[in-house]
Amino acid sequence: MALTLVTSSLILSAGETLAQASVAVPPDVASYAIDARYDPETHTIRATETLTYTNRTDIAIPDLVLHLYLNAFRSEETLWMREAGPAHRGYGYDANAPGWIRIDEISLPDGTGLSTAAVDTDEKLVRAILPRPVAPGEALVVEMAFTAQLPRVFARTGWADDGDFVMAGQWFPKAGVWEQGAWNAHPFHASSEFYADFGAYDVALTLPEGWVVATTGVAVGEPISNRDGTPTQRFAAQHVIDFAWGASPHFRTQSTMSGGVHMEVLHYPGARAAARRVMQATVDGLQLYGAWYGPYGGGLSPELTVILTPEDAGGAGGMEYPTLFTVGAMGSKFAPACFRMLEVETVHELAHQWFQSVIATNEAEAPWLDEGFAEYSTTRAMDELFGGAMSTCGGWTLSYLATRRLEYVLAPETPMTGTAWDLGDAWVTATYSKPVLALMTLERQVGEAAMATFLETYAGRYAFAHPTEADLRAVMAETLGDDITAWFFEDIVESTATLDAQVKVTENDSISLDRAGDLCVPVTVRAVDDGETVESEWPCDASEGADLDEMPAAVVIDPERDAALDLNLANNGLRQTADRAAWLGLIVRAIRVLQLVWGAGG
Amino acid sequence: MIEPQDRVVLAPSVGRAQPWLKTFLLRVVQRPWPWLVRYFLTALPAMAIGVLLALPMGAWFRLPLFLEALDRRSLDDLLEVLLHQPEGPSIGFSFVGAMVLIPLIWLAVHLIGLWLEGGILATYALPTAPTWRAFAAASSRWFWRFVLLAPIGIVICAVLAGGAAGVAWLAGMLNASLAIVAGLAGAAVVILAGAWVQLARAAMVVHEDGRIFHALGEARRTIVHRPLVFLALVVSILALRVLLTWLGGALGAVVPMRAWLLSLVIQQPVQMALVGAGLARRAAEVGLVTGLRPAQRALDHV
Repeated sequence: MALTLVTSSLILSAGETLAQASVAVPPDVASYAIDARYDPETHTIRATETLTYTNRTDIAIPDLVLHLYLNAFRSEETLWMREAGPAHRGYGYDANAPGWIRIDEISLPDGTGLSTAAVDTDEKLVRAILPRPVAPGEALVVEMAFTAQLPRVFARTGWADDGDFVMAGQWFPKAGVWEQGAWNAHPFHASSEFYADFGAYDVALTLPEGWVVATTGVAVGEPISNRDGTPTQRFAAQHVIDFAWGASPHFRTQSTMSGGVHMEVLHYPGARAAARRVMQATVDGLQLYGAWYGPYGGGLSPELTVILTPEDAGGAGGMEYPTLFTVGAMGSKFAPACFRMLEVETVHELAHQWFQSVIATNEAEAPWLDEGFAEYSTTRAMDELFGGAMSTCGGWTLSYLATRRLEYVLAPETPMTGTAWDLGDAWVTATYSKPVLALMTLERQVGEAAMATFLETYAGRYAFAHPTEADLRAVMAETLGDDITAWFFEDIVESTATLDAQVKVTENDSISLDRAGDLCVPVTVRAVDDGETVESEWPCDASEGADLDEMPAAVVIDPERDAALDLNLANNGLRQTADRAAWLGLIVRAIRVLQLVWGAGG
Repeated sequence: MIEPQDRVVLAPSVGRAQPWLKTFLLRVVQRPWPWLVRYFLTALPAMAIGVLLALPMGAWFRLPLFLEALDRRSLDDLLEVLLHQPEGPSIGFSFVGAMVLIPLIWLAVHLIGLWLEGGILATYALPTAPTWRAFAAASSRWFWRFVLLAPIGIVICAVLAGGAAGVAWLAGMLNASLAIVAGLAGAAVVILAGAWVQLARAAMVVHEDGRIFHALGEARRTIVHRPLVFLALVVSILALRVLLTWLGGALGAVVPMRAWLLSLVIQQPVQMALVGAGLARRAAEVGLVTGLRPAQRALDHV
């Protein structure tokens, strides 16, 4: 077989039901049939595309708005590039290897040509004028021919390894989302990701002979050999919001079956050990998330593929697509086994298979809804799998949550709400760091069981839908109660309020407990004196500055760290006197380290 | 100018082949002064810097979070405390001071160690322990020779390491496992080359010959003559040092931070044993060189 297929074990006839869905699947809105040919010499894709967009709303659609995401990378002058630097996750943009996409022809099936006009200056969005509106319930079919030039790997997509590796993400003209009588489609911003309708994809890919390819969905039928020796293979995906693919002649495959899902990790020959780590984290994560949020892919996806990006393609790593995700960003695959950045990246991207691929929130307008829940899932998964430790190198532990805390503590005064571009420099904190700390704080307030009920309800109700913050709030109120929901949304999600609970020594050597900032989380206070431990509640309605006349041997606010949003945990506790034994212990250890540094013995 | 009586003089008896190794190794214990000097060479400045670093940290030891960080070896908590340093004397000054002093002391320790090298080798080469004066004279006499030998040794090891890295890189283009094997083989060659250069120091002292390349040749002949003994010496001392370093770390991890006396009682003997391992290597090198060719020329100086 000329074209090696990673999905060969799951060859299905087109349209065959893949698995029994665990949830009701709404009818598709945006479906695509694409026939694409990739040229590894020029790194271009030439394709035809048939888009079927069904108006499922009550309002007629007057025109069609299409995303042309690759045009963000056509020069250093685009909006995306100006916002980005131009750099993404530490990877630079190669101006000599840009990316762009052009619609060569666009028409209705009867041959009626459509005129297009750029919506923004960079032509990242185009509007096609329709001869008549698309009525509610009616389907619009548009046929296109397009050319996509992939950039040298940058910001999730492109080619690398002298053309022997390609990751095609956001590579085709893609419809916006028609909702509330308008197209929800924003120009591609540097900090923004994506938003799309669910649909069926039928994609025929023509690649050079011998290339191994991984895609969203599954292979359909056998590959067809073309006259020039290249093979063409069809792939199908049902009820998905996107279609991505990656390929290389150098890919090796590791595969396994777990929980009814066939999993494969594609990697370069030198990355076998890293691929094994990715596979194990994927298998473990799939079990955990399946138990927490329902079956993978809503029970509709029998296949999950991970691409471990090669050495010079880290910019394509760390990205989620339906039934496919990539890892290998920021050098994670080179880290030693004791530093589990690769596992963190894997379980994070895997979490997106729920929080985005199935619960398809708007990543542009409410980025915390998918990244925040993915981060929360990542933290919980790391807790379950590794006791929370991202690193155990040198016998010291470092949790993933601590790295997110660091980001939050450095710039905490940001709401979580807002569009990706309006959040500006606070985007990472608002989208990743604060949400994970907020959700951890919420979990510790309501308890794990209640939190599980809330998440299960939310994930089940909004599978294959586009929930908003209001939808999330409604589910939270229903499952956790109005008071905690109001506190979570008004004091944390929409607020810049911060919290710093602290033990203070007063002028007369007594101590007081204070809360700085406008956010309050009820916690316990632990006092230790004469070997006796006393714990008491410190609710939010208690008077500020609770004083203790006599300093106990030690006092600690929130000893269980329930308030993950507390800006400063160091001032949460105080001893009456310094622990001299520990002090001497540190000196003794420092002496040994210095003796080793200076080479005792020579 | 060193007076004749201060020179290293070797007795004919040390040239006997058997039981040369035991004889020389015993001298490490029988003549403990080099051991003590080498131990305190690092222990005293380490104590000083350790105290300098810890003195302004009194307020830190009132924070339960900092104590938890030390107890649980938690970088999370340590990061938190570092980010929000407690009120009290700043540790910045002592920390910066220590960061400046640590490399300076490293340099001083290695220079003094190099100066002591001649005296130490002479101590193990002589049939009777030298006087302090003789020790100091031997140290001074060989110091500059050893200083000249050091960059030669560095260049030899660097060239070999570069070559080994190149071979490993080329091997890596064929097979990743082959690259690892090539890298390990290269590392072994570099370690053996380093041991060869160290053996040259012993050859200089034992044969009272300050010619560097002649000493390297003498060391090479010694290795060729007794390759297995040389290899066993290098491997066993290296293994012993690795074992002792691991043991010190493992015991340190088990003992709670507050049990400082127990830590001290465990760690410092391990450190002394590490120093002893280094000195045992020197004594064995002296024995190896002496056993091959008794230092008749040295006797001529008497």
